[in-house]
Amino acid sequence: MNAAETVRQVAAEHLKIAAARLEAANTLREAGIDSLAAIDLIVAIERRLDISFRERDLESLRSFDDLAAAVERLLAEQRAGS
Amino acid sequence: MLRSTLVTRLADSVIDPLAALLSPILPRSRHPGRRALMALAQMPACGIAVDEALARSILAARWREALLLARARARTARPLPSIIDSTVHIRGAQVLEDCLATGRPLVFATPHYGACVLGCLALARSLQGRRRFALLYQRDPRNAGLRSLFLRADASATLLSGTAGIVRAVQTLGEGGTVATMPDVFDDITDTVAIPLFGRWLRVACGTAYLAARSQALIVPGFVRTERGPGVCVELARPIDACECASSDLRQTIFALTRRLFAEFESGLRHAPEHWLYWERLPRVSTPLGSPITADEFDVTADIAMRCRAFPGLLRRVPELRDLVGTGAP
Repeated sequence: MNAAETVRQVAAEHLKIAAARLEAANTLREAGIDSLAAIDLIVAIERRLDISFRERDLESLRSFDDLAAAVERLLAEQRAGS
Repeated sequence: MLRSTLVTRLADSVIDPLAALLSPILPRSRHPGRRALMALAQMPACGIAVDEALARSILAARWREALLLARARARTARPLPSIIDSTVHIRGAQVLEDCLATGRPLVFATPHYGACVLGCLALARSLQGRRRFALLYQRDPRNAGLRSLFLRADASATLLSGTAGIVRAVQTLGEGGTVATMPDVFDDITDTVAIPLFGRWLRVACGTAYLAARSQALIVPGFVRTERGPGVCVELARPIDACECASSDLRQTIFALTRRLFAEFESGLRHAPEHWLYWERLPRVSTPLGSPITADEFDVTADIAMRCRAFPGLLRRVPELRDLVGTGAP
């Protein structure tokens, strides 16, 4: 499962958003994720993947793609460090 | 060391007489009290007495805060931890001990008073070795130097801001820590709830309530007031238990918690209005509540007629409404 799929799966599980709605949405807003739900999502992703977002990762977070890119970057750094 | 203490005491002793002397003649641009009074005059339902005494005490409070902050920032011979310990005292310290004894995470919430950073330094020092302490703040040029103050005060604290800051605050509380917040921010906020404050509707950030709701924390409202001496008093109010406001709807929980917190703030602000920095902003960011309509006064027919006039399509879609609203309808 790639980062984009993981992000959508965590959103579906934790925020109880229908998979079809998540698939159709590009931005978090389109999926009905406001800023508080986004925090819930970020916390859930951190717990699931054992990663820790930095401030710059979350500064311009608008879409699932942004989130997936940040996750991929952190996982790559983790792999490089281990 | 002794010299700097004496200078500070001397400066403090002249603040009140000087404010009394200069308050009537200072121009508005240099008088925060006069600007606050102008704002309060626009909000008559607010219930705060608008008089010269308040203008004077606001002026004196701003000067005293500036004096204390300058002393804390100055690299004098006296170390900052000793300045904090001798200047700041916590009133209601037992409230804090009782909260700590519960083992629950704590959210220390304080309105924007001029000396609140000194209160946070004292709180961080008092929790040293017992709880992790984090300060959630808005990144702003005015807050530059905050990190250096905490380092110099030997106050172990994590400084958090932005979205990542809220995520780390959730984590800190989840591990049983304490997070200090200043929830009365009105600019540049996206997620808000509307609550009544001083007889007005006000949109406020809901981050503090969100953090408490998510971690089942106790919110401890606190007021960081300057005093003659000069000194700082951190007054702690009765904690608000997030579990008591919990509902199955997070938004409702957030509303209930925010409402209770700001009711506590209103009570503290009424008690000592001179310390709040945001009187000037309040008329711009809020609107009057208006008088509530009781069930007896509510006229259903008149209300429907009004809606029909506002939305002519209603009568086309539901022609029966013409009978209900009579010939007076459009």
